[in-house]
Amino acid sequence: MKTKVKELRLAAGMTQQQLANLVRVSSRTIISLEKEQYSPSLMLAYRLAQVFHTTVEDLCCLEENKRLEDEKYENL
Amino acid sequence: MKIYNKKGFFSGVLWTAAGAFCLYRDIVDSADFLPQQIKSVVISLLCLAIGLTSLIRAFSKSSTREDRIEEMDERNRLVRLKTNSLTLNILGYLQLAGMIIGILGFAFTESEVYGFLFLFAGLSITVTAVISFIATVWYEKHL
Repeated sequence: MKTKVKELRLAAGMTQQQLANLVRVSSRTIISLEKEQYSPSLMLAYRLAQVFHTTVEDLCCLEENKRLEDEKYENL
Repeated sequence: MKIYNKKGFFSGVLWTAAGAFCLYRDIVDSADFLPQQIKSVVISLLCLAIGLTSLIRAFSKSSTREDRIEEMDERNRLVRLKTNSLTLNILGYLQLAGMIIGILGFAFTESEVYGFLFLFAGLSITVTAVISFIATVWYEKHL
């Protein structure tokens, strides 16, 4: 799933390990999130949104991801 | 000194004890065959290193926190679930292959070995199916 984690982390001048420590996950989870290989749980998305002072909707690009998912289902 | 990670501490004690015991045996009852002896000593030292690392980490607050985060990390849990699922699927195919080889082998050769292979594979498929059924019922009720 596409997220703005990398973009917001770099803007905040944080390392992946620092962000991982703040949201209590391993740095590999942050790496996977940034590579769009892993979709965060609702609670992790909320923790990340709180760190970056944004909303889950904005952080996880929910509108865009929903549109992409809808397109995928329409093509079935 | 306070033990922060009891599980890590006990696993460390076990690995250290196993490593020390094997190393003692390698030195006292050493085999005459030198390459075998070297291989054995290397394995013992590896066990000892794993044990001592676990023991040291069990006494450290920050290392224990790291270990807990690694253990509870949602991606790690997903990786574990997917790994277990894939392992079970592969085992299922191997059991099925074992059963087919067993029944075909027994039909053509009438050898008891194939008979036992068929019985063992069939029994393990049955046990797996029963456990899977019970687990499904439990999760359907509790999730």
